[in-house]
Amino acid sequence: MTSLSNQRWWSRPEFLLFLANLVVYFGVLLGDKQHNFGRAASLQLLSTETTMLGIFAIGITIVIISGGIDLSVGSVIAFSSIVFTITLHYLSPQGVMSKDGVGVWPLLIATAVTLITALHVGVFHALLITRLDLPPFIATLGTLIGLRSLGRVIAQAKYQSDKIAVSAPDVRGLYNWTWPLNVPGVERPVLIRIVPLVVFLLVAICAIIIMRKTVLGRHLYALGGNEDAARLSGIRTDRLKYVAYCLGALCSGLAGILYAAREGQGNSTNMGMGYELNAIAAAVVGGASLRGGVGTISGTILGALFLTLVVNGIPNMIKIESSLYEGIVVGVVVILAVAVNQIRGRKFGS
Amino acid sequence: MRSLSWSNFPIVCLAALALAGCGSETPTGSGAGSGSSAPSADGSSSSGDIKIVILTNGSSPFWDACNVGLKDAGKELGVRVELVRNDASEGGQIRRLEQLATQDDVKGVGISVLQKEASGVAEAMQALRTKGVKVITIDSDGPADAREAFVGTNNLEGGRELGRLAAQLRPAGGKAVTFVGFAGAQNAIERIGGFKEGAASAKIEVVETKEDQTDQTKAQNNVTAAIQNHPDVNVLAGIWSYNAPAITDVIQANGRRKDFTIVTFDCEPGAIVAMDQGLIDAMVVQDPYKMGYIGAKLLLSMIKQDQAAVDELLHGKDFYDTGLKVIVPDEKSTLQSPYRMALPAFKDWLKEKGLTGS
Repeated sequence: MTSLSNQRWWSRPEFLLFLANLVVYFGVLLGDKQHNFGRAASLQLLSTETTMLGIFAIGITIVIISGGIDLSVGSVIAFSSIVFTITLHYLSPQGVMSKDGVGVWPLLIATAVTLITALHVGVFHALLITRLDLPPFIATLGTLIGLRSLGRVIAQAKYQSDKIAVSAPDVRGLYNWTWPLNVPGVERPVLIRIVPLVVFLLVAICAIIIMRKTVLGRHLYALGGNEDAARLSGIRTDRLKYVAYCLGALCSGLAGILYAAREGQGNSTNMGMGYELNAIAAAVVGGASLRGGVGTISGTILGALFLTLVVNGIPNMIKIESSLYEGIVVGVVVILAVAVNQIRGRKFGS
Repeated sequence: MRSLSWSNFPIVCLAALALAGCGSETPTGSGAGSGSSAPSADGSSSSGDIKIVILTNGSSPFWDACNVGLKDAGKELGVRVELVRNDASEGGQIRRLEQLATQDDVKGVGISVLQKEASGVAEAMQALRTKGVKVITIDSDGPADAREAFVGTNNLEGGRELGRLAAQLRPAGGKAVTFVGFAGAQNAIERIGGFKEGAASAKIEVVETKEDQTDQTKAQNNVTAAIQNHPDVNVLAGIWSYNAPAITDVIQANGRRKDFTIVTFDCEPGAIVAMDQGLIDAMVVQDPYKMGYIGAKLLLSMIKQDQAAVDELLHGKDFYDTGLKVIVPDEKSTLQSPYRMALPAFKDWLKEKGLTGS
């Protein structure tokens, strides 16, 4: 932390990543012969994908900074979608499939129930790690596998299906409500998906304040940097682990609600499959170290934007069979970004 | 060197920004600059400006044949075509549809809808249509109000035919298990429903439908579990293309071929080998080549607002039936079907089309 705050702004990893984002963005703009990239529809997609990824990537960043890892992100998203939609079916059985919607209270209660459930998943992770001394990799690997299955069992028991459909406009509105934003140089207003953006901004602001301005944040960095030293200096490391895993799971729970709204269903089968890797990639590209103690929320946000730009830039650069090359390009770019970060870190000693 | 690069980097980026800013205002020449990607007033947009995309449900080899048909149509019609393979998730289909909505050159999309009830997929299809993109469903239908037409098999009839074949092979009746990726997919609902109807003539009862979420290892495990959990089952029915090799691999490994009648949908390369080895009794085969070929042709006719060509394909309906083939091991087979074709003749047909499966 100290070394970072002493760095000049232009040599900080976030600034370099910001420039890398600009280079990718304008590189794709130049390379896109049909000029689809940078238009209103493209900017809408970029903002949506970045905010959705950003929400749970911020959660995993807190866990990584504290020296842990959470492999269950995708499964928590899927499980949360089931909890959310089942609760809605229970509270408003007529409303979930009607044009009238479910109403404000069922929506709020279902959100609260989902977040409380996600919180319990975080508590369960921390319990396994602190009480049973399980490595975080194993503890969260267990829930990565188990939660999807549990979600399917619950859904099958109640609705004889793995997927629980919800088409109420107010639920779908959590993803579909848009706000026209005039962007200079763009031919028409960009329809920003407002709820994911607001949730993302709230999560980001809270996380930045926690990690930068509070004792809790400093302790999380200390825990990730050297757990023994942190414990010897009087920090209650076990409690901090509860906080880190609960915050991580809460972010995944929020994402689960938004993904349920996006798909129009709770889906424990294949929703969020592999998203933990996207989140880890965003955090690592953003400068977080998997050894713990290093990383920033702003870096992760820029990392999420970077990944989104690359993934969505590919179809604009490679016009035919772009999906074939997507994995190669993203893989190379992630390795390059992290390698540059590492080399830069060695040079500047940060 | 280091200080030089740091100090210059922002300037280089700003220069790139300025350059790109200029570039972004360059007219596209394809109508994209004005946001108008519709055909010209006479309905005759140049085919070279048009890209037609088929979005799959998963990545089964079934789609290879569709891709060949799509590419053949692309060459013949002079349009750019692409088969985009989905990751077998609804979220993946929504993301890819949203991505396609950002591509102004994409004027037609065919999609194999993974889950009809997933309103997110239907809304993403609607959003494309609102933008002026022609949307049809291919192989598996979606909500009628989210697409212009459906190009594919009459899945209900295909399922009935599969059931009738099982009934001919097991006239004394029995119990069956069906295997599928997602039982909620529209084609799965229709095929399984049809199978039950067709098999009922011999009092064959479906005791379980096992889902594998297109995970092929799980598809094999499901077969193992089915023959263990239901000792009285004597008919195994594969509903999606990869279920055939999954069933035959497990049955062969367990040395229990003579205990089961095996009937399957579609024909992956592995299924052809399995039928050659006597491991499959009959296959109901769709024509994914035709789905790709006709799909592209129909979409281009719609894009060009050529109503006569659309009518010629659809005959006033919103469904183009790509037809069925019932593949039996050889000419000596006693199985009866109006769609019957022996395996050697089917192999010749595949060779003629340059396909390895269908």
